[in-house]
Amino acid sequence: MKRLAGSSLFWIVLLALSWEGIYRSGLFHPLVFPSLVDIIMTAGTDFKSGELPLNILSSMVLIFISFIPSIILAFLMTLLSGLSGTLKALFNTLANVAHPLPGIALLPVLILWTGLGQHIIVLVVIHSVLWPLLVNLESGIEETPEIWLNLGRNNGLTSREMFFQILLPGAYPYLLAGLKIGWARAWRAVISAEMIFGTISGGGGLGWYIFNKRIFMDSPGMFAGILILMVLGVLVDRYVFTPLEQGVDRRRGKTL
Amino acid sequence: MNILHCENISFSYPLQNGDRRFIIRNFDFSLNQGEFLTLLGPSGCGKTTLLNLFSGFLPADSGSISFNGNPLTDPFPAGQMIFQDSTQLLPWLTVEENILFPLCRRRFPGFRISPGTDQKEKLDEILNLVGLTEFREYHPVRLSGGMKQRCALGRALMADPRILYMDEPFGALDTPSRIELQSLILKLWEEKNVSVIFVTHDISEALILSDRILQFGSPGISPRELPVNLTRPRDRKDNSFKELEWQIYSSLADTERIV
Repeated sequence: MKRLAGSSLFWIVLLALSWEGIYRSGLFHPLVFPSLVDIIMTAGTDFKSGELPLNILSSMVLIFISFIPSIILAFLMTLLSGLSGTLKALFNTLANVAHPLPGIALLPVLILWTGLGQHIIVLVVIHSVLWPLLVNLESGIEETPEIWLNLGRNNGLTSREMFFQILLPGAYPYLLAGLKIGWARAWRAVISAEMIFGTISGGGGLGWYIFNKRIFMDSPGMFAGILILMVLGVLVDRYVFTPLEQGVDRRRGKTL
Repeated sequence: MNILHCENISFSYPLQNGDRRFIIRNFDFSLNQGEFLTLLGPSGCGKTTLLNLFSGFLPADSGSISFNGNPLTDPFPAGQMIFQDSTQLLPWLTVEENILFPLCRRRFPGFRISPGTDQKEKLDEILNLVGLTEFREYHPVRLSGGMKQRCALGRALMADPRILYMDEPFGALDTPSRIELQSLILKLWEEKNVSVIFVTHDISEALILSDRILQFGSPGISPRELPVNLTRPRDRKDNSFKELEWQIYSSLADTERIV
């Protein structure tokens, strides 16, 4: 029993059953609290109709095309920080100011400056990925043990080699942590931005999907969207980040 | 023939009250080519500081240090440092990649290294010397403390060092691994004709290994030179060995009383 209670599958089943129990108790109107069966059925129909896959793809593509410039920018900024103390101070200040700022808060300004369009969502996602990534990379490089730097000095490494051979690989676990935080933040940013103006893009995205379902009073569809979001989050964590983290643990041991 | 020569060097650390604490003052010293020198003394006496001065990691306040006649200002590949700390190996590289590090490195993180044929031959020879051939694909996290030190030693040999700087390299090891590594370093020293500067606080380790001992007392007072005229291979049970060990032991106890 104890082992069973420790598995997440057990809790998922239990939560699903209690959900269904509440629905069947008739305490709430089905529009407020739809049946799990209906939710899954709706998800199934929308999958078949192509509506859901298109929306998932649309959100994923948005995140993907925002991730690449964010990573490149974070690397460039880290590299420049290593070269110049002035730039480092500037980037640190920027990160401190911008890191806690929700991307969605920038929407009005971005629209004012760059006009309406899908690029707005990309910019918001870049904002939510770039700063945690930069902050993590910077702290990873700052935590480099003195002894590794001495090894580099001893063997006459150039500053370029020092960066690529010692600082960057040393900071890899921090980079991974930054990507993980960035990924979670990107999801939030994309969903909120899509809810605000999803129709700009072809598919609309998952945020628009959920929002749209509410407009048409399709509660099961609304919950289906949320369910899909949760499933996607778990899948990415399990098949992207967990293997990467296990790779680090296997090579470097649990403690860094 | 001197390989390392220093003239009139002084070094001090600043203290909180504005004074300076001298570690070494107006010190002259020469290391002979192929000599095994030990810096011996209690912790905090300045052994590691002197090693860092000798290897170019620390600049002296005054005076000059030269390696092979050239002034020494920075660390250099021909003077390889081996630390006590087991984190000196790069954890993301395998044993063989760590050993190759001085000569052959990845161009970018995640790339594979491509050592030349002669580098590969040298790698095989060194792996064999330090006894890590079977563990060449391992990452450092899977090695024991002694194996890590042997790997660090192998990495230093890869750079074709003229001087090995060793900062209590076996300090964290158990007695059997320690003795094993002491024989290994002696074997390498004889084969490769390198000079060694070895820091330790263990009297018998100093006596087993070195040609000459610099015995540290209190900081600021120049260390005492002590030639070790025992025949090699040395035997810890030998009477002359024990006598010398006792002599050093009592003189160390003396300096402690003065302090």
